[in-house]
Amino acid sequence: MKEVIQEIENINNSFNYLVETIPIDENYDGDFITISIKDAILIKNSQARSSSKILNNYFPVNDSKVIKNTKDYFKNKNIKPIFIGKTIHDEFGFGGYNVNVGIDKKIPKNPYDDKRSCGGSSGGCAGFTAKTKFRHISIAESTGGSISTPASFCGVYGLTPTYGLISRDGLISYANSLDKIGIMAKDILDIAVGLEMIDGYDLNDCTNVKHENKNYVDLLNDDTKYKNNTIKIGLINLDENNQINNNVKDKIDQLKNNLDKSNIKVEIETVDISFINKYSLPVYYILSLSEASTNLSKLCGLRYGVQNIPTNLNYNDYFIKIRSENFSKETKRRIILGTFARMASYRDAYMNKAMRVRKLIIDKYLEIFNNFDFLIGPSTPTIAPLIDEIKNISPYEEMLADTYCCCPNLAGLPHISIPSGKDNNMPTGMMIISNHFTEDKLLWLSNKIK
Amino acid sequence: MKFTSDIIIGLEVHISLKTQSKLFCSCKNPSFHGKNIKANENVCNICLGYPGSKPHPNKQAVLFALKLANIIGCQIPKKLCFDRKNYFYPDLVKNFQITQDEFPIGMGGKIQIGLNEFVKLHHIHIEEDPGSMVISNNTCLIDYNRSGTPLIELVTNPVMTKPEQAREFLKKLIIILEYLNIFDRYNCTLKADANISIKETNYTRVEIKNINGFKDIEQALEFEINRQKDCVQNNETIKLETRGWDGTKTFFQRSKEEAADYGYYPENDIPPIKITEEIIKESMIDCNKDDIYYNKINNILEDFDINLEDLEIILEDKNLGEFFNEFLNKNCKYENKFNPQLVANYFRNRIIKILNQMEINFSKLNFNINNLTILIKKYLDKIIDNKINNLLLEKVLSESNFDLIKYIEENDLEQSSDDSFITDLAKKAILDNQIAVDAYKNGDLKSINFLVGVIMKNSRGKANPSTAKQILENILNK
Ligand SMILES: [Zn+2]
Repeated sequence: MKEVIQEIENINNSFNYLVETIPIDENYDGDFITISIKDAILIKNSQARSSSKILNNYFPVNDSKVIKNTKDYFKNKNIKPIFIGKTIHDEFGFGGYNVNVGIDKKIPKNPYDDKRSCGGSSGGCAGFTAKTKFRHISIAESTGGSISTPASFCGVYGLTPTYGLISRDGLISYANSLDKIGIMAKDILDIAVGLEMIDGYDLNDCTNVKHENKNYVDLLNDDTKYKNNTIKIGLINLDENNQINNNVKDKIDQLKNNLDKSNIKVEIETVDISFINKYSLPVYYILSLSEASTNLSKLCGLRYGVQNIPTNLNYNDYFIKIRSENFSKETKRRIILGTFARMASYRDAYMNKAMRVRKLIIDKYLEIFNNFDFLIGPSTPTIAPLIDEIKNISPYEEMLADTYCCCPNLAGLPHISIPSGKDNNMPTGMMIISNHFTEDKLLWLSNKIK
Repeated sequence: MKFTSDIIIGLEVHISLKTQSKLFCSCKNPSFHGKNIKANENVCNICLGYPGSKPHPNKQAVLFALKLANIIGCQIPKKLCFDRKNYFYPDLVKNFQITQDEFPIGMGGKIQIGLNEFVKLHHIHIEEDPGSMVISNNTCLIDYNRSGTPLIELVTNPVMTKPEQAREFLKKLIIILEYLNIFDRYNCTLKADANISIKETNYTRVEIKNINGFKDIEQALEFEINRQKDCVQNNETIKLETRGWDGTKTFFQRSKEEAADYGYYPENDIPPIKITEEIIKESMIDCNKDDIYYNKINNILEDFDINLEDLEIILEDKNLGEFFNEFLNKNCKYENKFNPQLVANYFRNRIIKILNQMEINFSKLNFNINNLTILIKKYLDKIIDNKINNLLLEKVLSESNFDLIKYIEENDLEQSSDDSFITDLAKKAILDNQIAVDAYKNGDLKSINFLVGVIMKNSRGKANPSTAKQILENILNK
């Protein structure tokens, strides 16, 4: 274990992926798998700040459900899960590039080029997964693209499950109708293992849909369900002729070959999702910020986290002081925008309209999935940008990082980002989307791309 | 807007439900388990709103609300939806309250406050109670034991026209809630916010917050009406404002010129839950039409000749009412043994009076109900007298192992109608009280009562007074 501990220290010193480390028994010498956890997900007795200093000293009293499930999963297996620590992300998940770090920690760096972003918000998960030489699973979270974007930038696999499959109990909410806990890993097998280990119906999270756990690992190589049907794949967002898109097209060719070898028929055609593309980003931002602004209102320095009590201030001034001093600029911007969208005189124009359009987007997807099994396109429109360049772009441009991946997130659809190759020596990602609760199918297809 | 009355009153009533646990977690509900818990010891990560915690609704609370909605004739929506009402306050752990905004659990409905009198409701909804704050010496202490306990907010239309009507409304509401077994006046709380406006101010609406119980509501409203009338006379303008009530007067709290914007948002941690026919049925499982206070009163009035006001008072306590009804059916319906009004008198003037003295609710008593039936019959049969009845009634109601019959025998408490026993006493009384005997013989017929009193005294209450009187008359008129 000493080697593992040494590696964690080395990686962290150079790339800043962990905000909190968990003590490891250095004398353990059995089989193991290391596991990292996004800071927004609670693990008992380990400080959980969602990368914000307003939550300094918040030590949760319980494990989140995914941690409990993980511990249970490995109980009767000859392999021990080693929880190594909490990974850095944009404060509360607010960002696509992981430059919005709300605590006294350095910006994490891309594992392939330390001047570039590792993507956000689950950047620490992706970076550490890419960098460690040991078998590793990272428990990440996506609200509007926080798994796909960093997975793509760092060249690892990132699965965002269907909204409602994985319990959110113990996840610090960003936008509670959009937050999804997912998995990052170095190969598709460990994505399947990771999904099996965090899965499990949870009564305590009312949004968790009642279901039986599936054996995702066994189903990876099981072609029987697909032999007699034609797999229909829709290509999306591939109009432009660039390296990212060419990498996706190469992967599609590979996929086609492999399906042919397995005697599985496949049809591939281009699908127009311009309606979804046009409205997803604005709808996503209006709803996610509205929800975030109510979710974050509990953070006021009174019962946990940052405190300055007793105080001579009245409660209003005290709350204003604590929140002004401890939220980052981006967080304040999102709270103000989200509150505005909910106000009585604007809610019809923004919040209510966005909810209606979200419904239309979901309907549109479901209509597409009547005819298609999968949608495939690039995960992100660009490779990981330079950190110095990000500092100069507008908040709106920063939001564009999620252009592609916010669409399935908004519809709660399962999707996976798969490494597709390189562009200028930087990793590129390909995204596969499937219908609600068809993760087994999604992983099966992903496994055909090698 | 045109009003038909000079005074317009509307109420928003917050009712704490006696569910076993809180609304969104499994902590104890002090309205059920009592409030003897140290401050901040009846809390968990959910009712403290800790980051990462998620609410899950308490089925019992939903069933209670559905039962009430159904009984008072609300329209029940197809789905149960919760919303977040956002405002910052130290007793509100999440700085938003989980409540119901657009689709409350009951729309409309009405509360019956008299045989033919109803108050129409706007709606009822479910919400969580915040914690409680104690402010003293410029310091604020907060106790979250109450945080997250279930409330029903019941909003009337602005249809009441007199303070005593508001009082009657709350009084009857409490009875109705107790009949449904979802509230108990000793552990649960009921607080009202009253909106009041009078013609003289062009119906400018003033809100009085946090009035506890039905006695205060009448006083607070009367005070406020007089205050507003005084203001008008002194040419002061009444503004839209919120006022408090300290038990003797209303006082300014804040101006309402700018309406608060709570930025309501759906509580997405609790997706809409289908309200099925089955679940409505389940909510009514321990409840039927007879569990409505006035239905029960009407049923009794159909069969028995009893004063309405007596019935209203006796049936205030559901269990006492049930016992009363049963007693009437067994003893007054076919056998015609007792006059039902005399039975009612006994319940109102004896039983309820003693319960009030004992400061206890009939349903909270631990006693042998057969004893009570025996005692009532003996009293109505004039086998025991008034004083002894009072003594026995208190023992019957307060001692669970009390053996009434044995006690009466051992202490020889039954009145005697035994002629020879009373004749002996009568003869002695005549001998000892010649003045009264002479007065009677000279035409002062009332002085015979004095002699009856002497017999009663010498028999230590055992002699039946009417028998004694008859025997005296027989002897004296010989
Ligand atoms: Zn609790």
